[in-house]
Amino acid sequence: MNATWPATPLTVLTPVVPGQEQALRESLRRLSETGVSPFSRVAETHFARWVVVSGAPWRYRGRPRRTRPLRMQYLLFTSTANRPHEQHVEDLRTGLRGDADAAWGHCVGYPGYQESAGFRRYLLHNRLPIHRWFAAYDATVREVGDALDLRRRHTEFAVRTQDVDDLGLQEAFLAEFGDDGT
Amino acid sequence: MEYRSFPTPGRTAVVRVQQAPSREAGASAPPTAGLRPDTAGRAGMITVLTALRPLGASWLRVLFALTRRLPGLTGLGPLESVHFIRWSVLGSLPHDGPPQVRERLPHRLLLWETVYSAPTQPYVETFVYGVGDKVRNIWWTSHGFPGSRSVTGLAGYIGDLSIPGAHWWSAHPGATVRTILSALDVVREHRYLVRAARTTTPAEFAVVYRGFLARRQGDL
Repeated sequence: MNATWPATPLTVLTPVVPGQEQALRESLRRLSETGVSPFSRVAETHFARWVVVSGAPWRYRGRPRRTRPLRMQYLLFTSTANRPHEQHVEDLRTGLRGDADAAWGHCVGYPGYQESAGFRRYLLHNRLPIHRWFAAYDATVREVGDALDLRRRHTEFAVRTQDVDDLGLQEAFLAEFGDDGT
Repeated sequence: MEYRSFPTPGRTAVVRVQQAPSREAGASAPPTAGLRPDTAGRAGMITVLTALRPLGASWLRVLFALTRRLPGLTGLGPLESVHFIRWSVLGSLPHDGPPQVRERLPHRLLLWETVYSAPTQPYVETFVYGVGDKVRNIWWTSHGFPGSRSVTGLAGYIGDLSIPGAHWWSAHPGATVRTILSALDVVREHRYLVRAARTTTPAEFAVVYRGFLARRQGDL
């Protein structure tokens, strides 16, 4: 696969404006109810996710014994896209548009999607470092989609041509795949 | 020859539906019942924050630096059920000025997010029976880690600590990791097949094509 850019993770953590926590959760719930995720409009994105972090989510059965909860709630955003961070952030801005404001608009210091430079600066400023990363594949979303489609066609072709002779096989193959541009 | 078919992935939004387990279900619950990932079609997503023990962060930085150079040490390649995994060691959180109060973390934290495709129980079982030592190398650094010898224990740990998503998306809801890797392998051979179909005799092409089927029947 000739991916233009390897699958790259982005993690962004932004503080929620005190008092707007419930409104944020409502906004995210509404996004899920529309049936079509706004992330479908963001180029080259394999997976994306918003998570609200609050309290002391690291506490497990009383361990560690001495800890204290976060003082604020945070919106954690994670995504994987075949884009450099700067380009992916711009894709998020132009793809999510108002839906970006519906989520990050409840966060401290968010400038809004219409401020291109500010949006980029804000998300990049709130990036978390990723110390280890594993990707099963580096193919782009389109390459994955095309590959799955080709695999399905090959499966159907194999079933269809089980009983044809050599000449018929070659003719059928060229009829099915000869125009693929490979 | 047996052919299996998988749906071509579409693009769907995912609406989170929470269901409380019934008492009957609880009586015969599988060992991973406590672990409920967010699901998008065949993909499961889990986000976990753990508190690191003293020196845990230093150990992880060394381990991660090492596994960046020698990825085999991570031990995840052969699993073929993981799309993506990320680990971050956090000593502080981004600050955006007022009204954000400056956050002083009581511990260094480990942020772990996995996107995988498999039923949850076999997925956790692979961590226990397949790469248990690799999992221990990373997770012993976290407070409360129960070890990687028990599926129930590990699933309970991950399940208790996992932070549910508020909204998530997958571009490949219908595809497993294995399906995707198989499809990418088919693409590589496909180019050669098309060239062969155009330049060889029918008999020669039939040999080439049947060789392809023999090699790739598990991928179709």
